[in-house]
Parts: sequence; structure tokens; C-alpha cells
Amino acid sequence: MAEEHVIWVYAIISVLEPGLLDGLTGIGGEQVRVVTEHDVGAVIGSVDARMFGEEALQQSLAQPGELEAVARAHHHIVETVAAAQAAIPARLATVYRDETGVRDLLAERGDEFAGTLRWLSSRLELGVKVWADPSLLAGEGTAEQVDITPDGGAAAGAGTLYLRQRRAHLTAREAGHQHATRLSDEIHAMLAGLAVSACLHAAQDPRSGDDHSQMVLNGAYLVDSARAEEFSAAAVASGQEGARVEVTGPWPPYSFADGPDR
Amino acid sequence: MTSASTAERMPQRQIALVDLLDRVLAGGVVIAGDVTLSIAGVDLVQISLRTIIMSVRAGMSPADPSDPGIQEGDEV
Repeated sequence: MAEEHVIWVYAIISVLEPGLLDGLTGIGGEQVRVVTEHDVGAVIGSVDARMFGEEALQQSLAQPGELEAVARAHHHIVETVAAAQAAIPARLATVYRDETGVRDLLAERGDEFAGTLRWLSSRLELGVKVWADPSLLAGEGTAEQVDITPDGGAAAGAGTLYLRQRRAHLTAREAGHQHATRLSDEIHAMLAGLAVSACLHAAQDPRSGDDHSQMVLNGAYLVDSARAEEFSAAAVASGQEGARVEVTGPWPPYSFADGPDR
Repeated sequence: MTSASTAERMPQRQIALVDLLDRVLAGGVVIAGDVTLSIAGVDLVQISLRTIIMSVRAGMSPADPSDPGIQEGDEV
């Protein structure tokens, strides 16, 4: 019965490529399908309301394992569709009570979606993360090292010497952080120049088991598909000693789903 | 059987959960649906997001399993 299901929205598309969704199952193991209204379609699935209704979701998405499973299953559908045609990914956990709600949405915002789809067409999202090594952040090798040799501090006692060393250390650290910030700004500006649009995500926490590298750039870039390789190569080449660059993707355009005028 | 779609899943290594969550929770078009949960802005998810990242990291860590886990704000 209709009441037992809710509608999960994966993505907005224009006309569906034939056969694309055949055999494709969604977050609840359901067959994914499309509803279309005025040439704009929504990729949806009917899922069990007891598992994916509002209350159930609030609880399950608070569980790391569940959130991961739902996020990956949602992504699998979005990725499959976006690989074949322009698609606007829906934010995770967009749920309607029934198909009528989805149709109303398409009728209401169809023009806006169509504009965004044209903008996203033949483009993809790439992620670029830059990690600064501890040595870079500590400012090792920066110019202004204070003279802390015994000669330079000939008249200084041990306490004074300690303070000078400490100050030199802090000065170097500040310089190191400034250097890292400047570097990430430069890399972002350079990449944004190669991209159609760019945005920044919050830096991710340091990884355990890692070497205390710090993320100084977590950027997302909308790139013409034809220039994706060139873009990736430029990103990789922007790395330097002490700054490691990691390119992720291609992603469906999650970070650019609000269109060109956001 | 759904073996076809499963088998076609890319052979490349699984994408990092943190990168995926950056996108599916903060990205994607926001649609004011009947039951749309704006989960990204809610404390609940902020908290669970931290928990996940912690547990993912703990899983990747070569540290001994007897370790009770990473404390919040451990590394700065």
C-alpha cells in the first residue's frame, strides 16, 4: 500500500537515457525509477517508511554505520546517473510522502532545474585537497632565523637564550602557517582559473596514524569534462616540498547543485 | 539477481567516507520536500559526523586495538 512507502529523491535530470536504471537498486534495495514533469525528471525510489521515514531516519543517520551505508547507496545511484547524463544530485535524505509531491516540485522549479542542468552539462566535479607537512607549518627553512649561536648570545644567560630560541621558534611557526595559507590561496586561485566554478569545503581533521599533516585546502571545482585531465595534472603539479596535493573524483556535481547563480 | 549491477561496480578503491560526506551532507540541491530533513545543519548529524570520522580513523590507525579510541580534540 502507498502509505507504507515514502519517496527517496536521488537526483534531478532531464530526459532519461534509455536503460540507464535497469537493474539499478537504491538505498532500500528498491528498483530506482524516474518521474517526469515538463521535461524535467526526478530519479526516485519507493522505500519502506519504517526505515526511511522522518523519525527512523533521524535515528538511523545518527549511527555511523547506517549513515555510511545510506550515503554510499545514495551516491551509487547519483554517480551512475551523473556518469551518463547531466544530473543535479539531491541532498542526502530528501524524502517525499508520495509521488505527487515530487511532481509538484518538478512543476514548480522545473525552469530553474533545467537551467542548472544546462550549466552542468558535460562538466564534472573534482576535489583537490592540500596537506601541509609539519615541517612546512613549523616554518623550517624560512628566512628569518634568529641567531641563537653561542656567539650571537655571548653575553646572554641560559634563560635569555631559551627565550630567544622560543621566540625564534614561534616566529618560524607563524611564518610557516602564513606560507601554508598563501600557498593554498595560490593553488585555489590557479585551479579556479581552470574551472567553471569553484567552492571550498571545510578542512578535514588530521588523520590518525598520519604524520600530523594539516589540511590547508579542501576545494571543489566544476570542470569541463574535456579539460578534466589538464585540470588534474595542473593540480598535481602545484604540489611542492612540504605540500602534498590529492585529487579526488570525478564526482557528480554535489558541490554545484545550486546552479550558476547561487 | 542483482549480480550485474554489483559486478559492474568500479574496481577502483572505495572512495573515502569523509570526502563523500563533505558532499552528500553539505552539497546536493536542497529541496523543500514533505519530509526533507535538513540534517547537515542539525547538531545530531554534526555529532554523528564526528563520531564517524573518529571511528573511520580509528579503523585506519595501525595503533593497537586495546586503545579505547581517539578522544575528541585529541590532535590539534
